[in-house]
Order: sequence, then structure tokens, then C-alpha cells
Amino acid sequence: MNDHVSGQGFAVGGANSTGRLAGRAVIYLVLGLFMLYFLAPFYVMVVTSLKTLDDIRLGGLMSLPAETTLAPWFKAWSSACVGIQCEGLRGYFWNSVQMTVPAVIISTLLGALNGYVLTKWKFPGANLVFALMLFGCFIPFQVVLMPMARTLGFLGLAGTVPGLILVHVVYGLGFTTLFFRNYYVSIPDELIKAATIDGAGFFTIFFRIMLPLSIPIIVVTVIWQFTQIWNDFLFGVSFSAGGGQPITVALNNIVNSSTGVKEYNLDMASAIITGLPTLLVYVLAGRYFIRGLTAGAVKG
Amino acid sequence: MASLTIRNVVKRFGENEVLKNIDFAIDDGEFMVLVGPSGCGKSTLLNIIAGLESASEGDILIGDNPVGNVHPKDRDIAMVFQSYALYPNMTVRNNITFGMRVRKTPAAEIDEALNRVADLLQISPLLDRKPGQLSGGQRQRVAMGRALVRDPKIFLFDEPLSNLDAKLRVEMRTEIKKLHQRLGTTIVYVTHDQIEAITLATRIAVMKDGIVQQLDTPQAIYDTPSNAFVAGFMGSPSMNLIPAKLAENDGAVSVQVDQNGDGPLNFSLPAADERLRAKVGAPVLLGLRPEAFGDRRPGDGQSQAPDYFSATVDMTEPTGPDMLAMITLGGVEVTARLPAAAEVRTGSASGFSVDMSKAVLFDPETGERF
Repeated sequence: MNDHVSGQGFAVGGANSTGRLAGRAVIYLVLGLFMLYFLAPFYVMVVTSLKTLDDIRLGGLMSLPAETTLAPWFKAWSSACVGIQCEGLRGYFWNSVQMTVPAVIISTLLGALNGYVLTKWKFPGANLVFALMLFGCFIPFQVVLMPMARTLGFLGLAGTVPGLILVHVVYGLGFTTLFFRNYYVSIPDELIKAATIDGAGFFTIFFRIMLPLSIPIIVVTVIWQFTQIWNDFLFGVSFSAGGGQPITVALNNIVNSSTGVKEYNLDMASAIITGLPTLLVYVLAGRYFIRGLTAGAVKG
Repeated sequence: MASLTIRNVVKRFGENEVLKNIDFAIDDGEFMVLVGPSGCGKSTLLNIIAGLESASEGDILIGDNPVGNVHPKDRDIAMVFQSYALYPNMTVRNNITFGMRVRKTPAAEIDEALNRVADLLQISPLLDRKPGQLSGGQRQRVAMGRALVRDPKIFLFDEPLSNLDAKLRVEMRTEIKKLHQRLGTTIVYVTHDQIEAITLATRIAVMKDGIVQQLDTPQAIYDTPSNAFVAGFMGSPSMNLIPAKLAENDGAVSVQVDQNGDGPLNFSLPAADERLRAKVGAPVLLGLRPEAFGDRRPGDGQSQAPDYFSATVDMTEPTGPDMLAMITLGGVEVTARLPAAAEVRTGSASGFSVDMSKAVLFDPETGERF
């Protein structure tokens, strides 16, 4: 609007650029306010985790620590009491890594394979199969708890990390299939025909043509699956026991323990440690995601 | 190099029969163009030849070998696709050699074949680029390179020029023809562009609704289309199809065309035989190519002869080398191709000649040629 009006005639220079500058200023001001609003809780968490307990009791919520200490972080990592064991989050962090990494890799690969079959090797009823898998995305976690427990028991995987991996792979498959299927629909079938005539078989085409073209959607799927699986609490608390629990369950056990003094600095440090990997994945993969998008935009 | 036989091929998708008993043979070294409107089954037929789809009935023979149950990779064919189907993640070099690498061909042999093709198509400077960094014409060359590198028995082209702009299309058309003349490999080429078909083919198969309407040399298809569909589809502007009637004038068979108000026009048929004589009185469709008309003016001696007439020009379209004049004849719009200097003016009457030796007659009921 602004451009349009001033562009019509004599009001060159001054008025025009001042108006535009004011508009920009308003936009950045609003953006800045929202940023502060969204970052405020994180700020409180970080600041609190660096304060001593006395400092927390005496100072304000938003105030900077009078005396900065990393002790709560060390305690959260290696000596906080989870239940009756006081070895910190360390062990549970690795539990989560051991569970999340294979689960993300397997569910992403299977999703890619499913999407490839559902779009490029269509069989009678392929659409029905896809619709049913999609349906699986909308089943709430709670509904599958009992059947899943029975299944894990039957397979002898109850209370183990492989059991949790299986649960997350099964539950994630609907989403990963959806992502890859919708991505592969836009890859021309002629590419598959050309490769077939060139002598490439099912897996050669998958690994040498489809997967290299899938980087953007792989990144999307990995971010999605990593966040889902790492942050999962319900499956973790239901299907794991004792020292095999994921970090989300351990965090709950630290924060919700009702004995002794409430150590807010420890709680905050634990919560940040628990949330850090998903943030990290997003920061690292997110950059690659944008690169992948622009690379994919140049169509062959 | 090999001949190709398509034997009674039928293709059904559920109830829908898209190819109805296709049966023809292509000689070694021939350039066969399958042409037809979209949905006529030409691409399906090509896919069946390639082995990407299977025929519901019938068989395909390459040379003397039935290949109905042979995997596409073992048919010794190569295919160029409309979208080029270059692997976007690979360099030009890897695109061209992908098939050979999959087949585990020795590296020295791959290099040799790659260099031969790169020289032939002049794409050597592009070998390390990705398809995304190439122009349309360059991608087209690479796609052909990928087909050529294998030195196959038969080339299949699926509308390879449709994605190029008009100028490039004409250039690449010439190149494909040159390539065929140099290599002499059998080619099956699918297109919906009738000009491409006529310029490239040694023989053309015109298809519609899963049936081969006519299979002949380009000139024969142009001059004597076997039915009204082929007549209308091949040639641009297309053949005029004028509703008319067979009549007898002074013992000679002629074609009678209604001219609005001015009474019927009679065009004599020089080559009328007994069969046509028997049909006198029957309605016909008179097929006349635009260039069968000329710009004779009335009053220059023979203007009263049957194959001269006068008509009002509805519109003119100068094309450069020619002048197209639209007139109304027998109740339909007719295009006449006149010399560029023809003195015709929109809205005024003009004299036209008709070369009836080039006329083709069709049955208005069935569309078949008499």
C-alpha cells in the first residue's frame, strides 16, 4: 500500500523511506516482544539452574544469579537421586540415546521403503494399505498400551530397550510412511522406468536413486521421529523398568520426588539436559534441511 | 539392430481395452513413428515394447525372439523419455554410465563407450555437471546419450521433444534424423505431433482408440488417408472435409457441393471408376488438402469449368510463404492455401480453382475412404 501511494508521483525520497523505516521498526518491535515472551521461560530455567538454593529463595524469579554455580548441573548429570539410586541422569541419558537412535533410523528407513513401494511399485490394494497406515497415526498412545504390553510379553521383550525400540518403530511407521509416500509421489515414474531399462532392480533403484533424492524428507522425518521418541514419556514409563528407563521417566522421578527440600536449580538443570538433544537435532538438522530443500528444488 | 514384430497385442486395464489387436512389423533399420491424439494407446504400446508393461494378449518379437517374458533390461533396447528422466542426483557422466555400472561392465569399456557417445552428441564439456545445471536441449542430449551408450538393437522414443521450445524442437528433430541415418538402428518413436511424424518417419502408424488407423509411408498417409480421422489429424492446417454428394454430369462422375444460395457446385472426378459410378447419388465427404485449392479468378477462360468456383472470403491468414483463405463450402469452413501474393480480400468474392486429382472421398457414415 505504502509503496503504491508514494510511487504515484512527486513524494519521492524522504516521506517514502521514512514511512518504510517506521513500518520496519514496528515489525521488528513486535517480533522482538514475541521473542522475549517465548524465551522468558527458558531464561528463567537457565538462570535458576545457575543459582544456589539460597539465591533462589531470596532473589526474584527473573534476577540474575548473585553467585553463579554449576553445581546443580553436575549433580543432575551424575549424582541426583532418581528413586533410591543417586547416580544422576547420566545412565538414563544413554538409555534414551540407545533407544532413540536405532528407533529413528529403523522407522525412517522402513518409512522410506514403504513410501517407495506404495508409489513406485503399486500393487492392488496399495491405497487401502496406505489408508490403514494413515489411520494408525490417529490412534492415541493410550489405546495401544495394553495390546502392546501383551505383544512385548509374548516376544520376550518386555522391559527391555529393544522392546521400546520396537514400540516406537511400530508407532512411528504410520508417520514416516506418510512423509515418504507424499514425497515420492512427486518423483516422476519415468525415473524408475529409465532405471529399470538400465538394469537396476528394486533395491538398486531404492538405494542409488530414491534415497539420494530424499535428503530433505529424511531430515524432516528424522527431526520428527527424534523429537517424538526422545520426548516420549508414556511408552517409556509403561514398557521399561528400573535402570533401563529413558531420561524422560528419570526426569519425572527427580522432579516429582517429594522428600526433603525442593531443589529448583537441580530440577531446572535436569529439565534442560533432558531437552537439549532435541534442540540440538533441530539446530543441526534444521540448517541442513534448508540446504536440502534448495538442492531438491533444482529438478532433473 | 533388429526387426520388431508386434503380434496381436491387446492391453486391458480392467474393463477398459486400450489396445485392440495391434499387429504390425517393423523392419530392421526402420524409423517407425506412432502418432495419435492423447489417450490413443501409443505410449502404452511403447511401454509394452519396452517391457515396462505387459500385454494382456499377444506377443512382441525382437528379431525372431519372443520377448513377452523377458525383463526390460535383457531386451537390448534403450528408451528416451519425455521428461528425460535423468537421475537428478548423478552427474551427466554417471547418468550415461549408470546402466553399464549396474551391469558391472569393465571400467575401460565404460570409458570408451562414454567418450564415443560424448563426442557423437558433443556433450563432453558437460560430463561433470548435474542435470539441474543443464538447459532443456542439453538434457535432451544427455538422455539420448544414455540410450546410445548401450548400442541397443532398438531405440524407443517417448515424445522426446515435447518439453522443448519450438526452435529447439526443430533443431533436435533434425539431429535425431541425422543420428538415425548415421547409426541405422531401428527406432520406434511416439509423438502426438503430426509434423514430427511426417518429417522423421520412414513409416507412420496413426493410432486412435487403441486401433492402428493407417500404417504407411508419410507421403501415402498425407495423400491418401485411409479414413476421415487420419485425414483430419495429419497435416496442418488439416484436410478439409466437405459434405457433398456423388452426381453424374454428362456421363462423368462428379462431386456436388452445396454453395449457399448459388445452387450446387459440381467438381469432376477425373479418376472415377465403376465402383464410384455405382454410388452416384450417395452422400460423401470430399477431402481436399488446403493446397488443392488455387487462386484462379473467374473470367480467365476456363472459369466456368466445374473445378473452378467463386466464393466469399471469410478471413485471411498470411503465414509468410503462403496465404490461407477461409471460405464456406458445403456449409463448413474450408481453408485454402494460396500463394502469398494472391489477391483475396476479406469479405469480397474471389475465384478459386480445385485440383480434383488430389481429392479423397470418404463415407460420411463410417469415415472410411471409398
